[in-house]
Amino acid sequence: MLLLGLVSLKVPFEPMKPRPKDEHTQQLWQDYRAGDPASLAQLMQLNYSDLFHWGVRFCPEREMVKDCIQELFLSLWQIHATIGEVENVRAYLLKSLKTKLLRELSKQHNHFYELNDDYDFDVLFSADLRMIEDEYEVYQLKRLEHVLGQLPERQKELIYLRFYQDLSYDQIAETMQIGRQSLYNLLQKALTSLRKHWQVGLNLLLVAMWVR
Amino acid sequence: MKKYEEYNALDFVKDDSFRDWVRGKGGDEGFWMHFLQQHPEKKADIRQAELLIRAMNVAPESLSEKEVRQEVTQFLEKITKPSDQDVSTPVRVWWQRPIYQFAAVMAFAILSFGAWWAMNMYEKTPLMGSINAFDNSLAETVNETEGFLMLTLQDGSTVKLSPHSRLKYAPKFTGENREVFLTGEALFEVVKKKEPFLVQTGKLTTKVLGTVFTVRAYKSDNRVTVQVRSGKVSVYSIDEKTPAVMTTTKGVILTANQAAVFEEKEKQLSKTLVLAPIVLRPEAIINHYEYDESPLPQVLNQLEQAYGIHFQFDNESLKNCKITATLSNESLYDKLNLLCKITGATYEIVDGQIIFDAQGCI
Repeated sequence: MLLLGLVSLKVPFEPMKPRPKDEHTQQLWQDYRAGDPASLAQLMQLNYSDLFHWGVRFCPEREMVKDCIQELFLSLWQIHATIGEVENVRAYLLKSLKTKLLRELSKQHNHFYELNDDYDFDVLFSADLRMIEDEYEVYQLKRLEHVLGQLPERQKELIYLRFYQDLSYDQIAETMQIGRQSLYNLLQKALTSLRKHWQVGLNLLLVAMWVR
Repeated sequence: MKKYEEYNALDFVKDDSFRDWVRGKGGDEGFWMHFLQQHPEKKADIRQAELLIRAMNVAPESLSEKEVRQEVTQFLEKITKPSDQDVSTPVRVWWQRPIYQFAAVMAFAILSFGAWWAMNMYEKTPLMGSINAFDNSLAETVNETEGFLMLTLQDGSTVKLSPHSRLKYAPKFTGENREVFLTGEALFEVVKKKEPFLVQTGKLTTKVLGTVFTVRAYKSDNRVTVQVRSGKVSVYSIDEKTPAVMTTTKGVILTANQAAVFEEKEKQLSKTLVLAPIVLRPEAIINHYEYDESPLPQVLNQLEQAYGIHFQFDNESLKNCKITATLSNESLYDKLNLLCKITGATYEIVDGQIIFDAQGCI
């Protein structure tokens, strides 16, 4: 039974491309700072689907997200001579896009969204149930999916960044623009909610969220 | 090597390769299947780790390669072609900067855009060039702009088409060869495949399995040059009388930093070096080009290894020539000129090698 489930992993879930290696991204960043537009274009291309996915969490209008990504890279190009080193390019891009989108949205809705304010973050966790044979496992996953859906949006954002965008703890703090302590508190809250509903693997979850 | 046999479920969740495997991306599938067979005692841990990763799944947004490509192209157009009204600060376009002209071949390689031009090239909305269907089902891309045009062929190979150049190619490669027809200049970054990749430029054929190289075949030049950035390339000219059959009248094999020139008038194919050789193995320069009373052969050996170019010289007569100098980012030719100046030697490039000739030092 167990083996069956494992063999099933051979079936690819989504045809996703692996993310570029950090060293590669850093090299492109250096070349971009040196004034090479092609490197910036390549950074845009390599990060586009992640940025787009992230942007749509804040704003369901696809064209507006695209425009914001376009503007983000145009403004990056304008400052290529003065911009400094960035420790993690992807986290930096995600953070910048979020800032831009929220600013854009607050202009439209005549409402000022502060970061850490109650902005919308729309993410739907849908457990990957394909090829899972064990009914109890399906039940567990369904239940966890439901609990995750009930979490407050900031907590969802945190889990999304950890599991969808594969960011490390430090990168999440940078992207969400909150300090380590606030992030830790947020994580504790999420875990407390989950603990009530999902016993199995909870310590696992704790460590998975905490350590990279 | 990671000690996966000592991993628990937590360690597996944290492991990038494992997460990628569960999500069906990444190329370590064979490894993990094998690992499972070898370590049945790890199945429970692996199962738990898998469940957790599955639970946090978020569906991807539908976003086609084409959409991404259009956005990136639009962006690149905006920044490389400033609008006419924008005359307040006359900025030099990037490829006019000396450093780029100087290291053109190198820049070409850095500029490879990877896969974003995507496989379905023929569906591409022509934004910078134009594509016409060709009689015998060949697609043709013409770059009439003053900038470079990137395209990706169906096999994943990328082509950087220079201004006023055209490339004909099959939208889908079938048969024994991957064959393209070039007029003008292009840098190719060829994906390794069983089928050889052929660049046809009239009388000259360039054949590769997977590598990075530039072919220049402007009609006005009356010569064809092939410059190799990495890998191995064979170049041969074709007998005019039997163009259909690939009769090799003369061929050369090029490795990185080597180039071939075909003079149309003389029908001569000769081997030389690229205009701007690049350092292939920086680790060969152990002393960072700082020489203090170093024997000339030692310096030349270092350059040979760093650039992957063969040097010919007489060890005995040069060993008394001592070099005290600090070199840096000069081109290879500038370095050689400097060494010649110090030692009264001369060098020439013959058949893709550097022949260093000196009377010797006392």
